Amino acid sequence: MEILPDWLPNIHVLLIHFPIVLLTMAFFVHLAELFTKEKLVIKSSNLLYGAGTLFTLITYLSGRSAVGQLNVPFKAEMTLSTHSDMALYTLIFFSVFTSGKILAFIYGKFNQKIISLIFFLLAVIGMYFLIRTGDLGGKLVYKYGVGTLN
Amino acid sequence: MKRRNLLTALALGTGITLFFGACSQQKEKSEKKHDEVHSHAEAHGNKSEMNHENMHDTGMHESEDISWKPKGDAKTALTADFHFTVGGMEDISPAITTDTDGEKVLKLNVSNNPAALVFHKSFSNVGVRTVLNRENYEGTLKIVHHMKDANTYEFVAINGSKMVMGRMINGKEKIMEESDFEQSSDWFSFSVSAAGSHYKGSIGNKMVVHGHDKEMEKGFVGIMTEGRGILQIKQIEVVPLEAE
Repeated sequence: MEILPDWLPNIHVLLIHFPIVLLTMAFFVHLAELFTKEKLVIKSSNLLYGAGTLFTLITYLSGRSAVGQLNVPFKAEMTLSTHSDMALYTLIFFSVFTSGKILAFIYGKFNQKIISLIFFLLAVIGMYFLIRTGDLGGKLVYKYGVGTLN
Repeated sequence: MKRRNLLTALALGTGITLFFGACSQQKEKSEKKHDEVHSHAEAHGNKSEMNHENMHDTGMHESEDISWKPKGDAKTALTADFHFTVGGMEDISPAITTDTDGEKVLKLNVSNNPAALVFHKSFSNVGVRTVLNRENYEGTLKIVHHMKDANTYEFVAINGSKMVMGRMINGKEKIMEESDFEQSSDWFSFSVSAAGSHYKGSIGNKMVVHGHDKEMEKGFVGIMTEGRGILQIKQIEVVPLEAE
């Protein structure tokens, strides 16, 4: 039984939506964290960051596999190269960030509000990496037609 | 109080999203303008002293695609567009013939001595594709790029059904990646791309090797023979890759 339909070149195209949605949701819940004392909100943002980071890893690996299966025109190679680099930076960033945030929550003796604020400012950097990666991925498909029937 | 905090958070979140969205739109607009400028540029025809076709020339950009096809006298054609960084004309004994389809073919009668034929222009990030037939050729054929001299260059080599990607730095060879591919006894395309720190070697549309390493300084691009026999070439295409 075929899992993927014929028109779908690889699973990377499906998976990319998960880190984008999870990390973006995590970011907004993290923002709410700054305005509330509820520990549930902190736990929720940590959970979303954790799930988002895990899916970032899976998506990154699926992307590495997809590269070998696609016919990429020369003009798209630099975009692909930068997309791959940005995806790696996103993965590394959120791996370190999420680990740090969770550890700070569990063991942090400092004021949780200050910790939340510092991590939120760091999260803005992570969101830049995520958006840039997605932007370049979109460019590959819509400008250069990578992975499409055309 | 809780409601106000929630509304503030929502407003802030919306603001940040709109900010990133606006930045992305600005980038898209400036890219569209850049593309329009390119599409208005005229490609110029062959210059009398050159034997290659430029696919596009903006006059506002340094990048210049090259689509080289054999034409006229072999030695004149090669001297006009290439120079040797290894060996010389006597090592490849070139001739231009016409095949059964009426297409011009560059035939290299390669001796055992290595020879590297490179375009006059240097490139940094680049894609190179050659359409060739090595049915009667034995040995290694390399596409070289970022070539400074005989001892310093990047390459993707094919020998039989093996493809090797590596670089030569001051005479010392470093292999990045190697893999087997399905051989063809007929005409096929052999291509290489060097985009930032990502390097690929492909046969036809299939990627065979994919390696990563630091970017090298810009250098010459061409082919290198380390074998013996008849090597036939229909086309060599060079596409400079613009930074993202």
